[in-house]
Formats: sequence, structure tokens, C-alpha cells
Amino acid sequence: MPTQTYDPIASASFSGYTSGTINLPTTGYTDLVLIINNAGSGGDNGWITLNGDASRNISWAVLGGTSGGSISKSSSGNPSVLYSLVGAQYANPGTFHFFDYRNSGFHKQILAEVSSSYGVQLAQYTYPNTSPITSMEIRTQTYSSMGTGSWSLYGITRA
Amino acid sequence: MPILGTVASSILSYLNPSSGYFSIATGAGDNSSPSVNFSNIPQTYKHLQIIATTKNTVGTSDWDALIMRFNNDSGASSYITATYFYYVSANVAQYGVTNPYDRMVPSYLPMNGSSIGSANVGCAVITIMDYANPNKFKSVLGKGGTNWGNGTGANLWSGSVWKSTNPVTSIQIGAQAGNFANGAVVGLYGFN
Repeated sequence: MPTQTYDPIASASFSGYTSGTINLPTTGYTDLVLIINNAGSGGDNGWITLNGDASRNISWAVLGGTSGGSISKSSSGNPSVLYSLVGAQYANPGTFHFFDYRNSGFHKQILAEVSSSYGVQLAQYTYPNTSPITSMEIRTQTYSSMGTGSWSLYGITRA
Repeated sequence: MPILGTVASSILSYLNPSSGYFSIATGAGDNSSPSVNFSNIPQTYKHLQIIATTKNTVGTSDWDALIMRFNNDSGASSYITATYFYYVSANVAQYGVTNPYDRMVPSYLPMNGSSIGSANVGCAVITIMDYANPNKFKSVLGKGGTNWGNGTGANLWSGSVWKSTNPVTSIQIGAQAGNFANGAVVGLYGFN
């Protein structure tokens, strides 16, 4: 019997430079979708940290395009954070899909699409941790204000 | 005076009381089969979506194609796939069109010899539009990617066409080489 899913879990407006710690459901869902809609202005990078974890070397690849060409980069030099993509500043909206975030056997995958100064970008991140993701924090890199904006979190389960 | 959008929405809601996003079925790689197969797909949704973690059993630190077919159709010219993709070894985004082909390539997957360990997997989200419509070819949008080592990744956006007007009643999705590995999990969803 099909199960209705894609449920809203939580949402809030930004205040200051951080969302604060967002504790994630420990039952009920397999995947999460985070939508960031930040209408603020500024030149800072957006970050997402997972599990308050500063010890993991997150690897990522990003693909994007503009009328003037394309951008494609890969790096593992940004431990512990998901950049809101190369060139993307915190004024840009985006979605982040967290695959099988409670799985305890495999590295965690995140797929993001963000509107940025380089056009729409697609990024895939590998968070090399076999433990479940239990919390996240959205923040700016240099502690400048998020401006006016909000985030929403949705949960998806499998049959 | 009623707003047309509101009236239309109400009518659609009446005609289709099951509007929403539904989990239909789940399949998993087992190291011994090349693909996960969904059969007897209900024809009651407007669109389908696949959410997957991916990996094949090939013991190399590299990437390969995630492939997909509908209704067990492996005809040599049944599909077209256009991609916008990136992989580190080329270090540049590229466009590609495969026409015709016997499979779709909606995303990439990692091989099982990743330098970041056997726990590595890839990911993909694939949307199949108007899959039950008997009057038009079927369109597929894919996005996904993988890393197979620190700083070595590949990802892509893709658009595919199955050149058939038959409703999609089964889906075969899995590895192009080797088998679909343990850790590959495919969820099938329907929405209206």
C-alpha cells in the first residue's frame, strides 16, 4: 500500500548568522530535503555543518553554467562543511537533498541545487561518516548576518 | 467572482483525491544482480520519481554510468540521453548527446574500489514525467553524482527520452558494469 510522504518537519526565519542547531528526526524518514530561501544581501558564503562535526573531510563536485561559460570544480579541502556551492552567496536560494541520512553503514550523500552568481549549480557532497546525521546548522562563513530569509525541512520515507 | 486557478484546483482535487507524494516500493542492490526491477507499477499517478543511493561491484576507484530501461526494452535505438556533466579527470563541464542507445544514463555511480573506502556510495534523483500517458514519448530528468576519492567526483544533469508511447509499467535501474552493490538502495515514488 503506497505511503503518503514528503512531510514538512520544521521551518524558521533566520536571525543573525546562524539557524542554530537543527535536531533531525531519529525515526520515520529515510531522506531529508532542506530548502533555504534567503533574501538577504551580502558577500559571505553559506555553510551547513553536520553533527557539529569538524573532523570530517567532506568531498564535493559542483557543476554549473552561465551565459559566459560553465563552472566545474571539485575539492576535498573544506572539512566539516557543505558550502552553499562555489560562488553562491547566502542571498541565494537552494535545495539540499540528504540521502538515507539515518543509515549506519554507508557514507552520507547530499545533492544540492543552488541559484548563484555562476548560474544554477548542481553539487554532490560526500560526508564520509557512517554514523547517522542527527543535527545540522546553517550559518555564514564569517559570522555576518544572514539577512532576511528562512529555511524549511521536509522528510521522505521509503515503502 | 471565483479565481480560475482556485476553481481548477478544486476540480482537480475532486477528480484526484489521492493528490500528494507517495512511496510505492523500494529495491536494493545485493552484489549479485545488475539491477533493481520494479514491475506492475500502478498507473494511478501523474509522475514518478526515483530517489537512490548507488554503487556497482567493480573494484576500481572510478565512476561509471547508472543505467535505466523501461518495460524491459533494450532495443538498440529506443532511447536518447542528453547530459551536461562534469568529472574531475577532465576538469571541465561537458555536453553530450547519446542518440540512439539501448539504455538511459540518468546519473553516475561510484565503483567499489573507492579510495575513501567501501562505505562510499553515490546518489541520484530521477523524475519520469507523465509515465502512464499512452499518446506520447516518455521524458526523464536525472541529476546526481558521486565521489570516489577525496576531491575526485563527477556529477551530471540529464534529460532522456524513451521513444515509445507505451505506458511505463516496469523500470529496470542499475549498474552498467558489474552488479548493483550492497549499499545501493532505490526508492520509487509517485506523485500528482
